[in-house]
Amino acid sequence: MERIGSCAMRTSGSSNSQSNEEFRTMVERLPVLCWMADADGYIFYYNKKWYEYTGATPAEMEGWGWQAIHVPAELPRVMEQWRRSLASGEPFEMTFPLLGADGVARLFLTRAVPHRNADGKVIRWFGTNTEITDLQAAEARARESANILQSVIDEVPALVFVKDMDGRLIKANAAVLAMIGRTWAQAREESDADWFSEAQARAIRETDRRVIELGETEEIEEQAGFDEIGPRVLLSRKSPFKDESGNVIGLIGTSIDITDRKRAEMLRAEGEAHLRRVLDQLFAFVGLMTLDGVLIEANQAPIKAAGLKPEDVLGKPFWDAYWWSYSPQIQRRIRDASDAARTGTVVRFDIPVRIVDGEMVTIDFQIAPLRNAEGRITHLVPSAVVIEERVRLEQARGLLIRELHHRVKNLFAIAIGMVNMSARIATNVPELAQGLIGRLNALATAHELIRPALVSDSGDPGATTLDKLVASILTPHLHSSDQLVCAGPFISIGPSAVTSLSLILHELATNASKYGALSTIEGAVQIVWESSKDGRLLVLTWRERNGPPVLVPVRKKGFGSQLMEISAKGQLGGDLRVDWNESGIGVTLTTLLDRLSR
Amino acid sequence: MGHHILVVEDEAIIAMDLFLAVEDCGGVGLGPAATVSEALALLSGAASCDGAILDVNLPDGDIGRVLDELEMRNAAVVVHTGFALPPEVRLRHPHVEVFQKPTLSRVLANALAKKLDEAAR
Repeated sequence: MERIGSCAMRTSGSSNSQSNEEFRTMVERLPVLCWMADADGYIFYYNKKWYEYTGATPAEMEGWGWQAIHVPAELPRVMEQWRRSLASGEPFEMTFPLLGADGVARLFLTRAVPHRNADGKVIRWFGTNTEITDLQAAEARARESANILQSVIDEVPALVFVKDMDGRLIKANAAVLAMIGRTWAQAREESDADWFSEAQARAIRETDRRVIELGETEEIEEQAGFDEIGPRVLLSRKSPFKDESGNVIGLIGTSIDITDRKRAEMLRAEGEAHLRRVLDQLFAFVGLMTLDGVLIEANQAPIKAAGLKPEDVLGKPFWDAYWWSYSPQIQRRIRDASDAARTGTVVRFDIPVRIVDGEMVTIDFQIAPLRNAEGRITHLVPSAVVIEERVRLEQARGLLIRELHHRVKNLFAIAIGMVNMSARIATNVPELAQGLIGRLNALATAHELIRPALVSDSGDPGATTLDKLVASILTPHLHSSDQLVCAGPFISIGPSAVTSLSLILHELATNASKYGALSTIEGAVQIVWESSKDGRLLVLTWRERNGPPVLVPVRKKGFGSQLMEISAKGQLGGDLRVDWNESGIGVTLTTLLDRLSR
Repeated sequence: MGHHILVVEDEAIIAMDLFLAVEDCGGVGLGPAATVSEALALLSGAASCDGAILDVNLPDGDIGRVLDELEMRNAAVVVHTGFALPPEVRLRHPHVEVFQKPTLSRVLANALAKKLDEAAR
């Protein structure tokens, strides 16, 4: 009580003690329960009415003693809110029961307001407890829960709204107001047409009417306004709003903004369509089969390239597709491959397939299993690439190897023939060796010159040219390059003709360097060639000058002459004529032009 | 012995070698011919032809027609080639003996001489 006294002195003691006294008397007589607390909530004063109602003594009530007249179950709620107000300085308002002196608990509406000093600091709390009826309590509770509900509704990210029969907002949460960018005062005066495009507002109005007319809940995607990218999309659920007697008086709606989700879906769908177009352009074949082997998807380009329509291959067992319908064996292989893929094995092989007009191409074919995220095989993926070019190259390489093999055997046959022939005519070993080496060398030179023709896959027979061949064979026999004069058009020499021609030129050159113009440094050889007017023949003349006097051989034709003659007549389809001029030997070689390119 | 032996070979040096090998065995060489047409011309002009040593691939085609002609004359034949007889030629002449190049000219000439001996008995 001392504290109350001192307090009373503090609050009323200064200027006008009379009015202070009047105020105190008035408070004491108030029909409501009154009290005062300091900034910490310590109640230091209760009025007379308080003590009358509770039957308690000031000593029992002082400070936090008031808890004794509360219903225990309610007390924590009261304490919590009282502490919250003390901490925040916000006014306190609450309804709770207080025990009277008669032991009956009655409802009181309790209010407390802070009193602040000049600095705005709370220095006192003034509280009143007013007894209220049950109805008043119910109203107060309803108001409380409505407030709670409103704050909950305002907190949720969804749009929550109630509309009347005309589509005007009766109620809307903060999310609705934020979306349309209006205050509640503005929003209640406007309608959808003010916030959304005309078409959007019309569509929304149609849905609203339907819900109201049919009285059924609807879930619908609708556009509402725009953001910087495009229209905003809402997923809305609308239900009829009924009064107590069950008449529809509007609608209740909740909406969530699914704009981002829709855009992501669209992007993915676009991505899929894009991938589909890419696949359709792909020259390789890619398909999708069910586990029982029915082809359900395939890209377009390879089907079109084969002259087929998608329906020729889609929707039927893959092994019945047109491509291999000509061959039961290949159908069997496809079937076996599908069976293997179903058990998780990737099968791959090269097969010939039939395309449009019965044409055949070879493909590198594969069937692989397709697994879902759990690793279970759900589909099979057949794929194929046309490998015609690869097959062609392999065939060309095979041909080349056979050709080379043949050529090597032929060269050995020629070499053996040379040895036999040289042995027949040689009178001693050095002569045999020299003759053989010269001829083998000419063969090697010829072979080197035709190398490009053998390794080029175009099979171009123009392996070398007559001028190159002449230079290659003659050069080893020259003392100086001006001993040889060549003139003639560009003539291609093929791999077959080159052997004969090089042997002929070799025999002529050997003879010249032994007995003729190339046996001295003054001598010279002139080689001129031209094709005949009808283009069938090539005429080549070999003329030696400034050599030693020529002696017409008396013995029968030597091996070299025979060899040249047979070569000219046989493989080259022409002939060879020798003029034994005293001034120098002259040779005229006539050949078929088409034989030269063989 | 004096058998007339046709030599068909477009590689001059091999042809000459074969020709001389035939003569070494006592035969009389016909040719050497380097082409099918040359060989056929020689055959039609020759009074007799008892045997032949033949290359297969010639500038104007394969040896098939020459083989046909020789078979009509009942001539003994050995073939000397880097490849083999073309399938259709092989079908018409299933018993012709084929030697792979390179085979020594002496071996070919002896093989032919043996066939002629057997035919004579």
